[in-house]
Amino acid sequence: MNPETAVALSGVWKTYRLRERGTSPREVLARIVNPRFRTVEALRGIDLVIARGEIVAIAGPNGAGKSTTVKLLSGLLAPDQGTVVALGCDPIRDRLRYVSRIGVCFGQRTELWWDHPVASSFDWKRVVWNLSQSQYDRSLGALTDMLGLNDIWRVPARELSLGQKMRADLALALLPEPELVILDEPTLGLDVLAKRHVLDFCREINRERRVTIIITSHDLSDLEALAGRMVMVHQGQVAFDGEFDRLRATVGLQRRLRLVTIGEAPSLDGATFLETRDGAHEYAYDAGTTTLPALLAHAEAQVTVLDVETHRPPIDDVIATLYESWSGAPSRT
Amino acid sequence: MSIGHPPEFGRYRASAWLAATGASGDGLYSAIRYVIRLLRLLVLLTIWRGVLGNEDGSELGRVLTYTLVAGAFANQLDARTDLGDAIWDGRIATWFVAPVRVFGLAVANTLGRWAPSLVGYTIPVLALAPLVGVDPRPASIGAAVAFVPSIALAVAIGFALDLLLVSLMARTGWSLWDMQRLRVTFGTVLSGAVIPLGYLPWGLADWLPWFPLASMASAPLRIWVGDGDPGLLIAGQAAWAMIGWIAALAAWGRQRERLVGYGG
Amino acid sequence: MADGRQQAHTTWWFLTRVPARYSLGFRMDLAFVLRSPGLAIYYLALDAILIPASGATTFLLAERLTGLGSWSVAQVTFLLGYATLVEGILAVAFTYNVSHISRRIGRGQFDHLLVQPQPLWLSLLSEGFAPVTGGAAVAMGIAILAWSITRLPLDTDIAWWGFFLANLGASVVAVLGAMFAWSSLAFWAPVAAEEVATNVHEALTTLGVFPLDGLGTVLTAGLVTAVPAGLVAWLPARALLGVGATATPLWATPAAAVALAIIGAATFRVGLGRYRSVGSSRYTDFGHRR
Repeated sequence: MNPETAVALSGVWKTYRLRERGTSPREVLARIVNPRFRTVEALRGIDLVIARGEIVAIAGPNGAGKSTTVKLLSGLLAPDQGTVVALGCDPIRDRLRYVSRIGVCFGQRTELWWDHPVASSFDWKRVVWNLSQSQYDRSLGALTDMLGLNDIWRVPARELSLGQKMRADLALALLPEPELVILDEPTLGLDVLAKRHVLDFCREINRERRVTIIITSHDLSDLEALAGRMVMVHQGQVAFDGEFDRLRATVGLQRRLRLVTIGEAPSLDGATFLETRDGAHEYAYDAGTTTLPALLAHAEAQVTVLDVETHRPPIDDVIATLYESWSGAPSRT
Repeated sequence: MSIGHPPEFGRYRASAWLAATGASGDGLYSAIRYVIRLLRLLVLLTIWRGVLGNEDGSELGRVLTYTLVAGAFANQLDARTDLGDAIWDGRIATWFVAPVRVFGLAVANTLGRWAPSLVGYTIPVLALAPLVGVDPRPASIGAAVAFVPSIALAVAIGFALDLLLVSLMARTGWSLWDMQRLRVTFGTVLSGAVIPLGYLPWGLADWLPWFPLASMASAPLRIWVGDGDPGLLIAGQAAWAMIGWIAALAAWGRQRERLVGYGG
Repeated sequence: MADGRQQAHTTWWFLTRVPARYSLGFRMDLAFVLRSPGLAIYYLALDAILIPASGATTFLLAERLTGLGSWSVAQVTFLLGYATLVEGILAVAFTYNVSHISRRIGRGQFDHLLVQPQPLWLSLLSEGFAPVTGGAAVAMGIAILAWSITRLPLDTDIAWWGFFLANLGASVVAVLGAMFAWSSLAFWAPVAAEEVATNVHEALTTLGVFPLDGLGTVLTAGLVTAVPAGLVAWLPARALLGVGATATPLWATPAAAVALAIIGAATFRVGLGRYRSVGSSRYTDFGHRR
C-alpha cells in the first residue's frame, strides 16, 4: 500500500440478513415458528481510496451504506468480500494497533461516563489509551481552547446538553492526537457557534498535523465548508466521488435568481418560481440553457424590477436533487 | 373506535401490542427467560420437598402449590412498570408529549410485556404442574373467584409502589438500578413470594402479613391455597392499595417536573 | 503521538496495565461516591444491606426449622456469608454491566469496547472496577463468614484457607463464565436476550443461597453446569465444611469453574465473530457507563 494512502477499500461487499417481522397476531406467531429473512446488500463492491491529509465527506440517503462504511473503517465490522486497509492495517486483524491511531466520534453515541464529571472521562481516556502526561496536557490544552471545555469540565455528563455532550465527545476522540479521525454526524445538536468551532478545529488539525478526516453528516453545507472531497454513496456503491463544485455540475448549471419588484412575482419562461420571502421572489434556472438577460427582459416586461441577485443553489438542494433523481421522485430545481 | 371503549383505549392497546411483540423478531430465543424461570421453579419445589419431607402431605402439597403459583404469576406478584427506565433514559419526555396519560402508557406497556409471558410461561406451567407432582388447582371455587380481585389489587399495589420509588428516585438522585434492587431484595424476603410468611421465625409470621409487601404476593397466594380468610385478606389489600395510591399520586404530583428533567 | 502506539504489545505488557486501570477505577468510584455525603452513605449502606438480604429468606427458614436438612444454622450462615462475598466481589470488580454483558451486546454498546486500544479481556477485567460502591458488600460477606466460622467446629489451617480462596475465586469465575455463556445469545437475539444475564443472575442469586442437597441427578447437574447456582456457595461450602454423608472434593468447584470459563469464553468468541460479521443494527445508550 502506498504510504501516502490513509484508507483503501477495495471491492468491499457487505450483506445483511434481516428477519422479517409480522404485524398481526397471526403473522407474529407464524414468523416465530417459521422465520423469514430478507437480504440487504449494504455495500456492493465499493472501491475508495483516501490519501493521508485529506478531508473527505461521505454522504448519501438513508440506508445508502454510510454507517456500514464508517463501521468498517472503525474496525467494528468485517467485510464479507474485498479488503479494507487503513493506515497500513487491517482494522479487524490489527485492531489494537489500528484503534490506537484513530479517533472515532459517533454523533449519537456518547463515550462519556454518565454519572461522572467530564474530567473523569478524559482521565479514563488517558489511562486506557496509554497517553503520556505531556501529550495529555498538550492535547487537552488545545482541545479545551478550541472546544470550550472549561465550562463543562466538572459537570457530570448526564447534566450536559446535547451540544455540550457532543463537544466533550469530540474532544475525547481527538485527545490521543489520532492520525485518522472518523466523525459520524459530529455536528448533531450543535449551535451555530459550536458547529463553527468544531469545523475550524478539524480544519486546523488537518492543516497542522495532516490528520486525515472522514466525516459524515446530513448537514451538507457543513461538509462543503470543511471537506474538499465528497463521496456520495447510493445503494451500496459510490455514486459520486469528487469536489463539491463538480458535484454541483452533475445537476447542470443550476442558478438561483432573486428579484425584488413592484407588484406580484412575474412568470418567467425558462425559470421555476420557488417562493417569495421578505418581498423578494426566488426562481431556479439552468444557466446552460437560459440566459440571465433573457429572464430579466421577460420580467421587466411584466413588472418594475428594483433589485436583482443571482447565486448558486445551496449544496443541500443539489444533493436533494440527486437523491430525488435516484429515487425517481420529481425534482424541485 | 370500538363502541364501549373509552376514547384513549385504542392508543393504550396499540402501545401494549408493540410492547408485547417487541422481542418477537428474535423468534424462539424469546423463550430463554422462560427456561431459566422454569429451572428456578423446579429447584424451589425440590427444596421444599427436602425441607418439608417429614411434614404431613397436605402441608407439603399446599406449599408446593403456593410456590408453583408464585412462580407462574411472578410478574403480577411483583408488578413493575418501565416508567423508571423511561425516566432514567429520558424517554419519558416523549411520553409526556403523547396524547395519553403517562402512567396509563406505562401500565399499557407493562400489560403488553406480560402477555407473551402469560401465554408462554404461566399457562403452560399451571397446565403441566401435575407432571412434576404439584396440584396447581386453587383450594376451592370460592378461592379461585377471590383470587381474581386479590391479584388485581396486588398489581395495583405494585404499580403504586413503582410510582413511589420512581418519585423517590427523582427526589434523591439515587439510581434506577438501586431502586430496583431495593425493591427486589425486600420484596423477596417480606412479600412471601419465595417463602410463605408463615414459615418465618421470631413472630414475623404474625405481623408481616399485614404489611403492604405481603399484600402484593402473600395475600393472593394464600387465597389460592385456601390459607386464611379471603375477605379479610382482600380488605387488607384494598386498604394498602388505597393508601399506596394516595401516597403515590401525591409524590408523583410533587416530583413531576423533576421527573421530566431527570433523564436529561 | 501516543507512547508506544506502534508497538505490538504482548499479553504480559497488557497485564502490567491492570493496576493502572484499577487505580483509575478506584479514583473514579471514590469521586463518584464523595460527590455528596448523603450519597456516600447511601451507596455504602445499600450493598451492605441488599446483598446479604438476598439470603435472608434462607437464614430465616433455617432459623425457624433449626437448620435445613443436614445443614445446621451456623453452616447455613457460612453458606450465606460465602454467597454474599461472591456477590460482593462481582459488585466490586465486574459492575457497569460487565457481568451483565448481555445488556451491552443487546443494546449495541459493544462498539464502545471495540474502539479501545486494549484487548477485550483487559477492558472487561478493568472497566467494571468499583471498589468503593461495592466494597461494603465484601465487608458484609467477610463479617457474616467470620461470625459463622466462630460458631463452627472448623480446623482452619493454612491449607483450609488456601482451598477457601481457591474455591472463592472459582465461584466468581463460574458465575461469570455462565453469565458470559448465556449472554452470548444476545449476539443472535439482541432484544430477546438483552436481559438474559439478569435472568441468569437472578436465578443464581435466589437459588445460590439454598443448600441444594437432594435435588436428584438431573437438577443437580443443571445447577453446577447450565445455571451454576450450586457453585455460588453450596458446593464449595459443602466441601469446605464437610457437610453431607459423602465428602465433596475441595477441587470440585475450581474444576467446574475452569470448565465454565472455557465454555463461556468459547461461546463468547463465537458470538463476537458474529458481531464482527453483522454488527448491531440496534443501539441504545441506556445503561451505558451509568
